[in-house]
Amino acid sequence: MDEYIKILLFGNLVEIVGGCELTFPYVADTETLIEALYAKYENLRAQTFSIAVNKSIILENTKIENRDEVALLPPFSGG
Amino acid sequence: MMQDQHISQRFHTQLVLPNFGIEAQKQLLQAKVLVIGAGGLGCPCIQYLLAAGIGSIGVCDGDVVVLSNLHRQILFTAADVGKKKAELIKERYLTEDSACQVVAYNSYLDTEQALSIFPLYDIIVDCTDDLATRYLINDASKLLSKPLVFAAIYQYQAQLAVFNTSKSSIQLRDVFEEQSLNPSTTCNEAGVLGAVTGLVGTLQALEVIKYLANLPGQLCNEMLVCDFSSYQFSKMKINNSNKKDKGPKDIEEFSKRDYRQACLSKQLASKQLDQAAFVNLIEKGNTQIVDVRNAGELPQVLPFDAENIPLDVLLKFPEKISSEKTILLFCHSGIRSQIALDFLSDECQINNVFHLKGGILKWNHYD
Repeated sequence: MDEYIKILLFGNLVEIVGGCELTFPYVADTETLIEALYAKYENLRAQTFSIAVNKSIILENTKIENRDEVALLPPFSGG
Repeated sequence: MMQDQHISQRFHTQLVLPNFGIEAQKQLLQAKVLVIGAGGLGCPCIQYLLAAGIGSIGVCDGDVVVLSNLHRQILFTAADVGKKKAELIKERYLTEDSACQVVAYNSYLDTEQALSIFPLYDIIVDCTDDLATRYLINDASKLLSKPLVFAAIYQYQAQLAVFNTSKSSIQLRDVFEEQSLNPSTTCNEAGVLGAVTGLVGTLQALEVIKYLANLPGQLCNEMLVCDFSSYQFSKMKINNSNKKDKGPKDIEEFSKRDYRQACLSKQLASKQLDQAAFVNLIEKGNTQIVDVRNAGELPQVLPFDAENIPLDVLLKFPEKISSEKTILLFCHSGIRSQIALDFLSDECQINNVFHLKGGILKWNHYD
């Protein structure tokens, strides 16, 4: 794959996706990426998480470059 | 107050550190720290804070010690089972070391108590284990301008951040909007090693000490995400300039807010309930509790009375489900109950139906 996005999963999202890291075909922005992930992993839709692009948490749809790293961070509550 | 000579001897090994010194130590000795939650995070955090010479620590926890706490809540022993955690810590440090003061608050934090005790402290440490209380602590800290050291755990992973150190610093709502609440997952449900909570509680103590002694390298406008299984650590930057979720705007709005209900309503909207929300609906009454596992499947369910309607039977005979009652579904791990829920909602237009997230497997019998 020449153009891809690296995705890091945390918390219970690891169980849903079946791994803590995956590479995904390149898409241009975070909204498109999340929709593509929902289509592939239906159970992800019921989860809520914050999104970080290249280790920076984003609040709105954000442009992604080839080989960027996108982390999906659900809120943890345990202590 | 300790004499300088005694301070020099007792804290020698931290006093000689670069950027530390007698003035930094005096800051710790005068400091008042409130630790909320005396569990897996709270125990190591309190121990390291007191050892480092913090003058006064408030410990707020309404819980009692149970046997399944002991692998990670290392201030307690089997002899403490059934006793109040906050009180036990106070008693322990009364006899071990009279130089530091421990104040016990033997109750679960609510909005009224937060408003009365937060002003007495310099910094707040969130060592709790549920999201509703975490948002309550965040909002009270924000409104009362108290720095807050936050940490939370999921299995081998942790999140750590410091909020409200200045007017421009971030808060919990900048990282996770409250409407994004997942049903809370406690360590009892998800599982955790004591060594992991020990490391993370110790990191919280470290951030408190860095803040009070004004040491370099404090976490600021970022969240440390740790995976102790692979030893991967990342600092995620957080921008506070574009806040969507602001929380209560003043003390009055904060006082009126029902944090537990807010958390519960999010779960009700998602239709999947954690154990506390499931019990809450059972207690409200007029429920039909349905076990959709096959007859005789283990574990047997003891905490409540349930009617057994296996999934394949339910899909053929949906008339067995009352349209007059609140329907609570569960199975072994939450997969079949989700299928039953989707069927009843989509095909039978029954709306008042919920299921137990993670199934009876995750039901906690011990606490």
